[in-house]
Amino acid sequence: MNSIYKFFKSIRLAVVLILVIILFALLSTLIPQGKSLEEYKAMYSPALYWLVTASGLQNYTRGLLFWVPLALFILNLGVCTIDRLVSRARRKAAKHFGPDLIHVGLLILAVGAIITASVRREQDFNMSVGDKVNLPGGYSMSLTDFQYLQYPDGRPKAWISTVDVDKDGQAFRKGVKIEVNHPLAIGLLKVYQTNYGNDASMNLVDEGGAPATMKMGEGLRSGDTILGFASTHPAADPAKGIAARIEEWKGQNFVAARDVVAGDELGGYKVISVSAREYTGLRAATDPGFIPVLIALIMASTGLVMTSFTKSKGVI
Amino acid sequence: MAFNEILAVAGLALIAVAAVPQIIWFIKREKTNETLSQWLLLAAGFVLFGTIVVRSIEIGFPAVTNTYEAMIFFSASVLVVAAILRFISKTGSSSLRWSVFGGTIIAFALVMLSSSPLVEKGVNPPIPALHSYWLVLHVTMAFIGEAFFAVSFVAAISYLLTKDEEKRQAIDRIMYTTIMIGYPIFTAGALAFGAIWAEYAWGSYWTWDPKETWALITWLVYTAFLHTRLVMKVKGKVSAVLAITGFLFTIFTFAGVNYLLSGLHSYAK
Repeated sequence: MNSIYKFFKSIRLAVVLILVIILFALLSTLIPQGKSLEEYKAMYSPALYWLVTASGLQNYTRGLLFWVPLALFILNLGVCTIDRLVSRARRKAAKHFGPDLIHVGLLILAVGAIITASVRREQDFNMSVGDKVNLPGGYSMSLTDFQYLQYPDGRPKAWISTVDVDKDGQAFRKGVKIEVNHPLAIGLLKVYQTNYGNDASMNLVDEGGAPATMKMGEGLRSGDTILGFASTHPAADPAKGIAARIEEWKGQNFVAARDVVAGDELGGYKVISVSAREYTGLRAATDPGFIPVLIALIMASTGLVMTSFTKSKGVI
Repeated sequence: MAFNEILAVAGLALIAVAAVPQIIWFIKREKTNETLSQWLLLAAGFVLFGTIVVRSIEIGFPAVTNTYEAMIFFSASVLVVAAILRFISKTGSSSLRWSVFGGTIIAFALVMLSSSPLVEKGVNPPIPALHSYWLVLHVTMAFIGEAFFAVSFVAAISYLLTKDEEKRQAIDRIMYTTIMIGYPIFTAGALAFGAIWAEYAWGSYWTWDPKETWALITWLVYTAFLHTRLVMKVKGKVSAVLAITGFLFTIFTFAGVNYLLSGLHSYAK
């Protein structure tokens, strides 16, 4: 028992484990993560394919090469921390507790990370104005407005989703704005702005009267030209509703762009209707692990500053 | 030429001027305590920070959100750290001067690299994900920590090149002190504030994105440096090798990951 304790309180073990974690973490960044076995087979030589898949480095954070060194390191850290705290208590040493703060902080961080890995939940959904979704804890949320703001050069400035939140069918919060970096927080539940999109489509009929649908991003061939459905915007004539922006390409070369509305001709088809459905992408997440992680980060950073101040004083 | 670009050029010129008295001191091996260069380094650092301030005013947000701004900020931080080390050093030893001179070269190289046509220099307000003061803390503190690592890197190289034991001990102290100061700043910036920003922006404080993983790897290298040194009492070559490895990993985390590995930080090009 004593020898096991000595083994785990060894600083040599800590350094070796740190180097092992560095090595495998480094290798994992060089291998694309989470692909199918067929993709790795196509990517690597047979020997390398075997090495990557047998070691589990292609799913690093789920494999033994991640969990075994990490578990040993946490155990090592725990034993070192307890040993240090006990010996300091025996000596009644009150000063220089920076390293203790760091180590206890890192242990709390490990606890927080385990909680996150075990119980964190997230749910992604796309909503258009008027849509309603159910959230955990008896909450529901409806989208009342969505704005996509752009800088003059066309780059995105902000995506702003405005929502009403109900709790058990009763109004809970109204007109809450959700933006990137400004999630909606209801206790542990947070709702994040993640993306934005447009489910636009065109209904067409060919010369024989057969119906067809073309979605935004798709294209159709007309002779040697590709007609691509690029975007939508309100038509110049409000009575015509929505216009589809069509880009004409010959091979890799852009030729021209034009707008089509219901009733126009497009590459041998007649446009029956153009519809657009802008949506906001939101993510609801609950993570009880973040609070201990935050506490741990504050403790470890404070401990580091204290240690740094003590150890570097008057050295140069 | 825009005012912020004039400041960047002025900063570059000041770095070059600051190198001159340092080179003369090395050539003449004077015993006098040349102090002009530390003032010039400090001035160059503040002029480069001025570039960031002017760009920040133009976009209405702290301008540390693209590669150009990051390089200028990093360079300015290295200069200020190098100058401060000279100011607080009681001895002004040749060992410290070599480290400061190395810092001067790194700062010069960063500004030169930032002027490359491959580096986008547009003065643009940030996209939504980058519009966060947690990000500003994350980036600025990480670079300030890395500025100390840059000086430790030069000290580590000069340690390996020096044979004089007395000088080696002096260099070893510089290497240790700069890492000891830079490590907590880097930890708070790169890891703690980075995690908090990621939690607010994406709802996940850690995703094993390549940039995050490499920042962690860098942190672990410096953790190994401090543990081998403070607990195992290992100094000298092992410390020097770890300090050099740590800074090479720092540079790869900053530049290499953006271009060679894809992930959430891909916009940092």
